[in-house]
Parts: sequence; structure tokens; C-alpha cells
Amino acid sequence: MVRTVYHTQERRRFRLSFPVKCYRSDAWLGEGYYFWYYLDDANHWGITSKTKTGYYEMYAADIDCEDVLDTVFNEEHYLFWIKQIETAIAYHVKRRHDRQVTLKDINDYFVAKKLLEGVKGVMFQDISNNPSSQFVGKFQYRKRIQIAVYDEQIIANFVFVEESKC
Amino acid sequence: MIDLQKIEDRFEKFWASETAESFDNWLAQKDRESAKRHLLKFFNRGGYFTPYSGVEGKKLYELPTQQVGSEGNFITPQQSEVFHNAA
Repeated sequence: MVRTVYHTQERRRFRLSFPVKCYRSDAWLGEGYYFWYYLDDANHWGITSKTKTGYYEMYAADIDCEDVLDTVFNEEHYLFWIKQIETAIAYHVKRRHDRQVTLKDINDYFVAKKLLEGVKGVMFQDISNNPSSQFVGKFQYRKRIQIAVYDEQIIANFVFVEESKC
Repeated sequence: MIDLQKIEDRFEKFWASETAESFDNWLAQKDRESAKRHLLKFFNRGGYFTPYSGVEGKKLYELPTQQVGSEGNFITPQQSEVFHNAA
């Protein structure tokens, strides 16, 4: 299955011809190419987090999700993933009081240990603070979904969509 | 198509032999590389850092990695000039 998803970056001197790999310490699915499922969330991310140059850009790409761990729509994948994260929490996170172990650390560790061989990306949902997801009072009716891609071979048709002021 | 059973088996095997030491060593190495990358990025932007961390009583190298590069650890080239002139 191919999904069209969205990538947000600060506006720079040149348009991108490929997404930028994320190394941020709070990149919670580990180092990879990050995409939003909804253009609206890509837009919100630009306004709130890509503010360095005053403008942000959004790009679209097609991701071949055949080998992406789909923890959002596939229950089996979701339960498997949660089990691994919770095992890691029990083994390593709770005992380290000197250094906070992040979700990114855990995901990077899985990749470093080659446990995710064959998995070319992970799709996950978190809680959005995007006001447009809260039309019904504070109830968030819509998932905020991200895909972290570890293998750039599954990224195709990367194109500029639009730019906007933060 | 992802072969979930195969990946699950791999994880099972991994957790059965996993040790605290293995994770701690990996994390320490990762933190060192991350600090190095952060410093290189800083120097490439023309910055300098003081021998002091900005955190009272701590040298830069005594800080936990997460704090290296946080506000107060580094000074700008302009501040550096003042720092060297004063020294």
C-alpha cells in the first residue's frame, strides 16, 4: 500500500529535493525521515516548531508502506509494538535514575541491535495539540499520525506543496 | 509484507539474553557521539565554548550529555572576544 504523506521544514535558500533526516533528541521514533499523515498536522508543525526562518515549507511524498510497522490501523502490529516498548521500560528505563531514557533511545537501540531488520518504517499515533482536532469541545476526534521511515528506498515522488509564514 | 512472527521471535530471543550492561554501554557511546556531533555543529557555526559550563561549580565535561549545548554552556563569538580580552 502506498500512502501520500507530508514533510515540514523551515524555508531555506533552496527547495528540498529529498526529505531531511531527523536526528533530534526528541525524535521519538528514532532517527529517520518523518512524515505526517495529514497535511493539517504538517501545517500545524510548521507554525509551532519550524519557526527559525519565519517561514516553513511543506512537501508531499509517496511512501510504500508494505514493510512499515503499522501500529495505528493494524491491531497485531500495535500490540506487538507496545509489548516491546513496555519490556524496554521494565528492563532499562525504570532503573536509570541518572539519565532519563527516552522513547527515541529505545527505538534507536532496537535499530542498533538489528531487531527491526525488515521493518522499513514505523507508523504511530500520539495525542495532538492541534486545535483543529478539537472541534467537539476538547475531544480529539482525529488521530495525529506520523511515519518514521528508516529506509529511504521506500520514499518516492517527493514534491514541494506550499510555503507559509509561521 | 512484514513477517511479524519472525520479528517477534527475534525480540523474544533478544530479551532473553539482554543485560543492563549491554544497554548502558550502548547508551554511553551514543551520548558521546551525540555530544561530539553537537559540538562540531556549534564550532561550524563559528562558536567557542568556555572552560566553564554555565552551571555553577561544573566544568563542561562534567555535565550530563543532555545539558551540553543547552543555554548557558556556550558563548557566542562576540562574547568570546570579550572573554579573551578580559583574560
